[in-house]
This record gives sequence, structure tokens and C-alpha cells, in this order.
Amino acid sequence: MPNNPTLDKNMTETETALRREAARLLSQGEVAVFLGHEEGWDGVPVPFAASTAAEAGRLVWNPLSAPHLAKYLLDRLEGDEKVGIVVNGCGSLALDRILKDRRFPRERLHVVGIPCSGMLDPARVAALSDEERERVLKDGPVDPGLFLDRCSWCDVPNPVVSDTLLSEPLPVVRHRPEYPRVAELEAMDREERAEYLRGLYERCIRCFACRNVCPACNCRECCLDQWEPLWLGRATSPAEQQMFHFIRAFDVAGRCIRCGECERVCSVGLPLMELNDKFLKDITELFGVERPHIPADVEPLGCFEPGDPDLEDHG
Amino acid sequence: MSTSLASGAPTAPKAVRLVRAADLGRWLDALSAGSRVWAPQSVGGRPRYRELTPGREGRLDLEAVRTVDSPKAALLPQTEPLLAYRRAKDPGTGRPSLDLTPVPPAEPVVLFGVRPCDAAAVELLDGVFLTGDFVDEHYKARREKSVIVTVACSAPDRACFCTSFGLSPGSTREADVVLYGRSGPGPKAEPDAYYCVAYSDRGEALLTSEASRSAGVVEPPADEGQKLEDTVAAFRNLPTPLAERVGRVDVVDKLDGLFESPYWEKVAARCLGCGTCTFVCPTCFCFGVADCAAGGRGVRFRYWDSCKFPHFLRMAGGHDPRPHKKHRTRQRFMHKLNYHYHRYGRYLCVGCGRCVESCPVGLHLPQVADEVRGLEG
Repeated sequence: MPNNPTLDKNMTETETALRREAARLLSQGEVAVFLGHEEGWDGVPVPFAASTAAEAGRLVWNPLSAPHLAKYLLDRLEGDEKVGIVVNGCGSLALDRILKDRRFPRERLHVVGIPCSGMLDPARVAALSDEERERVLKDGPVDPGLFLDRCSWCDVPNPVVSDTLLSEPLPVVRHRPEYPRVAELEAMDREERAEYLRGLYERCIRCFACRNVCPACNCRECCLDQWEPLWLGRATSPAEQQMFHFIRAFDVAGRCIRCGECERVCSVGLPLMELNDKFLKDITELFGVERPHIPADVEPLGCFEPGDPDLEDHG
Repeated sequence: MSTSLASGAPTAPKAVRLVRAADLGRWLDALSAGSRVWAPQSVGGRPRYRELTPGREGRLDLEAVRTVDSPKAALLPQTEPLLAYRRAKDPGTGRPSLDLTPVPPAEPVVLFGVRPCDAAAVELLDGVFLTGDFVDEHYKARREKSVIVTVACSAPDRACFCTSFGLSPGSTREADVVLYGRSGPGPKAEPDAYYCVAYSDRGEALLTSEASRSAGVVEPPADEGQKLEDTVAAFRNLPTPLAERVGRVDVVDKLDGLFESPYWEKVAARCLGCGTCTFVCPTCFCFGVADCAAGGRGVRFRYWDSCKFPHFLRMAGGHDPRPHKKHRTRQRFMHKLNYHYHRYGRYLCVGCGRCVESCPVGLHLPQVADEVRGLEG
């Protein structure tokens, strides 16, 4: 059953509360910096690190506050300052990914949570006429196709990690994830699929935006950056392009939170979630995990069970 | 190709022709017979600038405001072999040696449907690769065999700011031929024909060639001289939306004193550290050199690298002079708006708007150029 995303009508109040809470945390010295969004040049929210109470006044929370922020924590590993961060439901999954992967200490965080019923895709909204855009952002109604893809299956409206919640939690309706985009990939035979993927990856410009935005791509040093051993040749040949994307897909398999940020930042529009979705679907079918994109303490591809039935096959 | 970096006034046309939009495909086919041809194409739903290859996905898209990637790859390929080698034995002494095979010479290439800003970017690349103490033979070989056919912009969009750098939607800089939509500029211009104006000998040769003539590139009606002049002027005087906000960019002196500004920390806090801006940029030219070798033979090639990547400057032994994102982000903007100016007398930006459109977190050059004006220092 798909989700039916809507826009929160009280975002202006939430934004005021967010600014107040961030200003409080900064002025009382509870955090040294607060990660949120500010208004970008074209009005679309962009990631922003406020370091004073006055700067907290620049924070925004609106239907386009889509970019996740947790990945920026890895820029702040040095030192022991506390960091504030705002997350909605899916943003908290990104944060939890980094916490479950033990890449940032929970005790250095103050998490401000905002229940969320849906966020618009900035690119889809940018494509609207000026009048349509104003109408949509002001009071709707909003075409469901304008929401981020991830909103259409989201069943985590409330942050799974938070220290302060800025509004009342929303009712939760659980549903089994569906992966409509995988069917086509699965229907292809091997040669067709190889040809299809070659064609996709040939369009890649190797800018690494997908990796850099991905909360599951959080290794201390990415193997794709290493020279010795050289996992990824620097030539943009068809073979290296495939290696790049296969390595990335396999490395995040089992840890992908299905946020689709990789697709959002891809300047050449590659449908990168197709392969990630395939792995998620496989995890459900092979290991019986119904919601494999939700970070958990025990994850099928991240644990070892002495009673694993597969062990018999391998002596 | 100009070897002087002085910006010249538009040179006098050497030839004028007319081509119907419906004949463009035919013209490209005719040009393909003697050259490799690159052109803006729709690939996977996005406008891309790539080589026209029979059978490969892609549909000519001359009216896309800007392609995701710039035409620079035609002159500076993302991956470019420099030489091939094979381990051998010197027949005289029996000592190990290397057989070196140079790469095949560059083939003629037509860069078709280039935007005026991107053609102007080639002038900046020429400055880097063709002037000074070192001339890059690989770039030079490609450049000497290139013909640039630009298409003047009918409808600059909200990310366009070429006029901030003294260019215009009808700029002829580094263009051998410019196509001007016959109906003039306008938001929904779908010209049924283009005036084709040659500004160089190479352009004249291309326009007046038998291949072009037989593909429908013909003399314009004799009574359209004034209309052509008015059309050219209309393109040249067209404003660009983002430049209205940014104004003329001239911040080299200001940035002289801002190397240590805390501003760069703010910028770095937003930067994702990916290489999108550098790879889509028509003027970013940094590259690395690596070998792909196995079994006693190999290829040495260069590849686009990015100052935004954490390993860009890391040296043998592990030292990195720019260890933090702050250093790397600062480098890119300082290079474009200060260092390059000091060295070449030109800003390393043509206002194409690709960083505005492609940066995943809305961090782009016009904003930085505007913000540094207000900084103290």
C-alpha cells in the first residue's frame, strides 16, 4: 500500500520553533554548531551550519527542505564539540545509519526532530511556472507527483532518533515496501541487463556526488579513492564505469536507507536506485526482513549467526 | 584560434549563409563524412554534449539552453591516452627497455551547436595549454583540427550570467561560425532557419564547402542584409537573467586580502566535496596522469581530476597541502576569481551557469563572487 504524502500546514510555526530551539542550544553552549538549512539563492533550502544564535535566525523549514544533513557530521569528526542537527523521519534514518555504523558518537549530538508528512522534490518544483510554484508552496493543493519519490513509500514520519521533538508525532501506518522499478530489471535476461547497465553507466561523469551524499557511504577512506590497491582505475572506460557503480551498490547493500539522495544529486539523471532497490528486495526475499531499509542493530548482511543454514553448504 | 588573450571586437564576417532547421540533420551527416562531429543531444532525458555516433542513443537538441556537460571534452577528453608502452629487451645489449608507441594523431573535429559562453571558454583553455613556456602537444593537435560552430542563445535562463564577464548571448569569441536563429531571440524561439556567419578562415571553408552546400547551406536572400544585422545585434544585446543580479564580476582585488577569511569555512560547510562543478565546468582543466598496465604492457593516460577531491594534491609519503574541505573549496573559487586573473589577466569563468544548475547543494560561483564583495578584509 503506497503512502499518501501531504504537506504539513504548520511549517511556518515549526520553522519558528526550530530557530528558537537552535538559538537556545547555541547561546547556552549546548552545541557549538547547528546543522540545518538556509534559503539558497533561488529560494530552495540548502545545507547550512549555524554557529551563533543570530545565525540560527537564518534556518528555514519548508516543503523543499529535502537535503539530508547527517552526512555532514563526518566533516566534524575532529574535536569533541557537540553538534546540533535537525532531522525529519527519513533524515533520522540517514542519521541512524551513521550512528549504527558507529561513525559518529551519539553523545556529541543534539538531535532536533520534526515529524514530517512529505517533502517536495526541488527539481520538480523548479520545473513549474512561477505562478504554479507560488500556489503549490503557499497553500496547495499539491500534485502527488511533486513529492520526493521516497515520500511515496515512507512509513517513518516521525524521527527514529531525537532529543527534542518540535511537534506532536504523526500517526504511523506501516506497509510492506514495494519495488516497482525492479520488475523491469528482473525481466531482462543477462545480456539485456548487461547492455542496459553499460548504457546507463556510460552516461556517468564520475563526479562522485552519489557517493558523497550517501549516508551509507561513510567509510573512513573510500576504496574508490585508494591508489594502492587500485580498486578503481581512473580511466572512464565502460569497464571502470561499471566497477564504480557495482562497487558502490554492493558496498551499500544491506545498509541503503532508500532515501534516493543519490538520484537527486545526479546531474545526468541516472536511475541509481534501481540497483539499490533490487538488493533491498532480495534481502526481503532471502532473509525475511520486511523493511530492510530501516537501520537495525542486527542486519542480515552485517551479522554472523553460528546457526546459519548456509554454513552446512560450506562445511 | 587566437593565441592572443586580448578580447577583440567582433571580427567582420567572412561568409554568410542560411540553413533551414529541417536541414540541420542533413548538414551534420555531411560534416560527419570528413570529421568527427560533436553536438548537443538529448540522452536519457538530459541535454548532453557528445560526439555524434551512429547507433548511439541521442537526439540532436540545438535549443537546449545548456548541456549538462560542456564541449571541453572534445578538446580535453575526460580520459586521454598519452602513450602506450611495452616491456622489451634491447637487442644490442640485452638490457630491459621499453618500446614506446605514441598515440595516433588527432582527427579533425567539428564542435557543432556550441553556446557562445562555451566557445569563449575555449579561449581560456587555449591560454592554459598553448601559451607560456609549455605548449601541450595533445591539446594543440586537437585544437588545430577543430572547427567551432556556435549557436547564439535565444533565451538565456535564470542560471545564465555570461554578461557578468563581458560576454553576450551573441558572442563570437573563438567561434569559427555562429548560427543565429533567423527569427531573432525570444523565450519560445523555434527558428525555422539559421543565419550562418563565418568569422574565421576555417569557418568560411566549412560554410562554403561542397558538403555544406549540398546539404542545404545556401546563400541567404539578397534583401535580408539589414535583417541579418538587426538579428545579430539583438542577440548581442540580449541580457542574461542571473547577471542582472550579480552585475559585472570584478573581485580580484577584493580576494587578494581574503585568503584567511572565515567565509571559506561557511562555504565548505555546505560543499559536498564532489566534483560535479569542476566536471561540468567549461573552464576547469585540471587533470591527473596514471598508467593502466598489465603483463608488461600499458597505457599512460590523463584523466580529469578535481581540486574538490580529497586526494587531488596528496603527495607520495601522504602529505596533503589541502587536507580540509575548507582549503579545497577555497582553492576552486580563488583559482577562478583571483589566481587565474593574476596569471592570465582573465577570470576563469564564462558565466555558463552549469555550477548554478548542477551543484547538488546550490553552491556556485556567482553567489560566491557576489558574497565576497561584502566581506571585510
